[in-house]
Amino acid sequence: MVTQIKNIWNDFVSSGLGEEVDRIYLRRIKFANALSFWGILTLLGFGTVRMISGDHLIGLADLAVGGFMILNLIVLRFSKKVMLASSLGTGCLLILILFLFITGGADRTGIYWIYFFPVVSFFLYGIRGGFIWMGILYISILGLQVASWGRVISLAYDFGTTIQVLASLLMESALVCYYAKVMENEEKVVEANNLKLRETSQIMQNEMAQRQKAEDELLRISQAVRSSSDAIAIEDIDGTHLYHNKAFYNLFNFSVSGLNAYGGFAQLFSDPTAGKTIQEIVKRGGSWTGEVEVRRKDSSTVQTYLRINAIKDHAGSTIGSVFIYTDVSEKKKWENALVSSEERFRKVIASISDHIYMTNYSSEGIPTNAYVSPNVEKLTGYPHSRFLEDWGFWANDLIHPEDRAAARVQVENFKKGWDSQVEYRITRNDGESIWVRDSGRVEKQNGNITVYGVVSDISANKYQEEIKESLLQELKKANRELAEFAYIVSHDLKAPLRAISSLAQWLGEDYKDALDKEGQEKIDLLLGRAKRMHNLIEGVLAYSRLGRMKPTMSRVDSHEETRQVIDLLSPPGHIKISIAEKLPVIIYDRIQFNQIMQNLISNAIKYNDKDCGQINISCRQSEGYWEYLVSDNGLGIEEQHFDRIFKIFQSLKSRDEFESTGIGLTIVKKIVEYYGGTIKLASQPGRGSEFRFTVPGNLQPEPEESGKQLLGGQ
Amino acid sequence: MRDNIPVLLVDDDQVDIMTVQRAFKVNNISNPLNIVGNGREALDYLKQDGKYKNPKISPRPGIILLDLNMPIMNGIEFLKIAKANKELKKIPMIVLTTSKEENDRVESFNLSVAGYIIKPVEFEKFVEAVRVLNLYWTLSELP
Repeated sequence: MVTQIKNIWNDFVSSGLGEEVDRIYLRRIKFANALSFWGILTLLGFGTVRMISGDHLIGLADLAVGGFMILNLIVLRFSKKVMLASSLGTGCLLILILFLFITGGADRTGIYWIYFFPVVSFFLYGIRGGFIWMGILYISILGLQVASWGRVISLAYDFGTTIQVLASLLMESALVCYYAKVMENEEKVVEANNLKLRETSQIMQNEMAQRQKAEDELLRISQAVRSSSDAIAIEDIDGTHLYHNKAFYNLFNFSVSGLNAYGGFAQLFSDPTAGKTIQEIVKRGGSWTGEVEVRRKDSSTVQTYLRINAIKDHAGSTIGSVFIYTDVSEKKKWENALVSSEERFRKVIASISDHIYMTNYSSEGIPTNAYVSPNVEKLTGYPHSRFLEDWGFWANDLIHPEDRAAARVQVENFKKGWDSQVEYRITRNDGESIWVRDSGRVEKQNGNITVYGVVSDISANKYQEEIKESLLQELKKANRELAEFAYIVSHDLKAPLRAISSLAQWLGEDYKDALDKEGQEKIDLLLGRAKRMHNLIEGVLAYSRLGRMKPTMSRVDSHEETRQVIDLLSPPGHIKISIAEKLPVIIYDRIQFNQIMQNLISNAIKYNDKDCGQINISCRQSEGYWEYLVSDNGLGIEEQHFDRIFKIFQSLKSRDEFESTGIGLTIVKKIVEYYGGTIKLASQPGRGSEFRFTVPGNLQPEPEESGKQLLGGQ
Repeated sequence: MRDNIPVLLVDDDQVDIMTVQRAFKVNNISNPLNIVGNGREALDYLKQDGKYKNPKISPRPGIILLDLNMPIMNGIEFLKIAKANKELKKIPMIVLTTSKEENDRVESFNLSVAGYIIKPVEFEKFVEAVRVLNLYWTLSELP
C-alpha cells in the first residue's frame, strides 16, 4: 500500500520528464510539480471554504486557479512541453496575485500568495528566468499602483502595504535566489559527475569491445596456426613440448605427450649437437633461422627450414619459443635438379663452338642482353663482360659496316615477333673479318619479346661453298667438253675408220689376183676389226647421248612397244619369244623403254645356244612399281660375273665368237636407274638367265602443251 | 642421173671422194663429177670465181652432194649462204655425211636440203645408196 502510494507520487512528480530532458531540470520540475500539487490542494480547500462562507468572488478565483493548475498538470503529463506548462502555471499564479491585489481576497490573506512567486520563479527558471519573472511581477504591481492613482482601478491594498509587501518580497527573493544559485551549482557538480560516470562507462564499453576483438583475433590466429601447412610448435624454455599444429603431427608423427615422453623437442634433430644448440637458444630466449635436418618418429629424416622466435610475457621475460618448420626436401630436390641441369646446360654450351645469346626486348623495343654464352670470347676475341653489359657493342661495333643494314633488318623482325636468320660479317678483336650466321627464335610474353639466338662461324662454310661453286662450274665445263668430245668422236674417229674399211675392201677387190688366200683372209680380218671399232664408237656415242638427252615422259603401252621391238629384231626361227600376259601402260620415255627391251631381248637372242630357244617377257605389279621380267633358256651367266656385265665394254664372251660392244646392258642399267628403278639378274650357267627391272608407278607424264609442240603443232 | 647433168661433190676427205667416184663407176653413172674441198671453194665454184672461171671445166651443177664436216667453211655454213642466194637455192643439195647428230639433221632440213644420207660404213651399202640416189634423180624433174 505504502509502496503503491510512493510509486504514484514518484510517477506524479516525474510528470513531463522525457528521457531526453536535460538532467538539470529534473529537480526543478519535481519541485514545481510538488508545489503545484500543494497549491492545487490549498486553492481547492480555500476556494471551497470561501464559497461556503459566502466570499464567492475570492472562492471562485481560488477554485478557478486550482482548476487551471490541474489543467496545467494534465498538459504537462501528456504534452511533455515542460516550459509551456511551467509558463502557463507561473502566469496563472501571477494573474491570481494581481487579482488578489485588486480584490484584496478574504481578510486580505490572499496577498500571501505573492510569497510563492519567487520560489516558483527561481526554482523553476533558474537565476535568470527568476529575475525576469520577478521583474514582470514588480512592474505589474507598480503598474496597478500607478493605475489606482489615476483612478482607473481601485486596489484592495493601500500604497504603504504594497511597498511593505514588495520590500519583504525583495528580501525573500534574495534568499530564494541564493538557494537557487547553490542548488544550481550543486546540480552542475552532479551533472559533471554524471558526465564523468558516463565517460567511464563508455571507456569500459570500448575496452570490452577491444577485448572481444582481441579474442576474435586470437581465435583467428589459432585457426591459422592450426591450419598452417608449416609445422608449428610451442616449446617451453626447459625443453618441454607444449603445443603443435596438425602439420607438425603430419611431419613428425608425434603427439604432444608422445614427444615429451621421447625426450622433448631437442630429440627431433638428426644431429645431437644441433639439438643442444637449439635448446640453448630457446633457454636464452633468442631467435634462430636456418636449414636443419630433422628426424621423424620412424627415424626417417627430412630437410626443413626452421625459424625459432622467443615468446615473452608483458614484463619481457621469456616464457617459451615458437618453432616453425617448413619441409624443404622437395624444394631441395628441385634445387639440386636445377643446379645439375644448369651445370649440364653450361657444359653443353661450352662444348659447342657456336655462340648462344638471349636478348629481351621491352615493350618499347629496347634490347638488353639476358644471356651471352662464354663462347663469344672464342668467336670475337673480346671479353665476355663487354657484351653482357652493352647490347650495342655487338650491333654497332662488331658487325661489319657494310652488313649493319642487314643486321638492323633482323632486329626489326625480332621486334615484330618474327624469327629471323641473317648472315653477316663481324670484325674480330684481331682485326680479322669472319662470316657468321645469326639465327634467332622469338618468344612473346605479355608484350615483352625474348630472342633465343645462335651465332655460328660460317667462314669455313663460305669457303666450302666457294669451292663447291667452282667445282660445279668445272664440272659443267667438263660435261660440255665431253658432249663436244662425243661429237668429235662421231665424226673424226668414224671418218678415218670408214676410210680404212673402204680402202681395205678396194685392196681386196682391185688386187684380187695379186693376193693369195692368206692375204685375202687378213684383209677380211682387217674389215671385221674396223667394223667392231665402229660399233664401239657407236656404243660410246649412244651411252653419252643418254646423259645429254632430255627424256619425254608420256603414256607408253609397253605391250605394244615390246611387240614392235620383237618385230624389229626379227628373231631367227629357232627362237620363240612369248609375251606372257598383257603388259601394262606405263609413264616413261618411249624411246628409252624401247632401248631397254631391245637390248635385253637382243642379248637373249644372241646368247642362246639351244636348238629351241625360249624367251619369255612378263610383268607384275608390286607396291609402288612395275617389275618386268625377261627370261631365256640360253647360255646363262655365272654369279661372279653378275656385276661385271653391267659395266661398260665388259663382255663375257670372246668378241670373235659373239660380236659385242659390251655397252648394251650398261645403257639399260643407266636408263632404269635414271627413273628410280633397279635391275637385277638371276641366272644359272647353261640353263638360262632372267633379267628383272622395275619402273616406278609414280612417274609423271609431261604436260599436254609440250607434247603438242613435239608433234609439230603451235 | 637425168640428162648427164653435172654433179658437184663438196668433200675434203680423199677416201670419201674415192668412195663416191667408185660408187658412181660401179653404178655406171656417167654424169660429170666435179669436186671441191670445202664450202668456201664450193661458193667460188658456183659463182665461177677465180680458177672456176671456165664453164667448160667447171660447169654449173644440177645437183650438189655436200659433206658437213669440212675445214674453212663447213656444210651448214655453206647451206646458210647458198640457200639465201636466189639463184643457188634452186639447186638440189643432198647432205652426205657421217654425222648422226640430231642438230645437224634438223638444221640441214631447216635449210631446205633435198636429202640427208648418212654414209654407211660398208662400201656395198654406199654403192646401194648411190644407186638409189641415181634412180631418184633420174626419175625426178630438176628445176
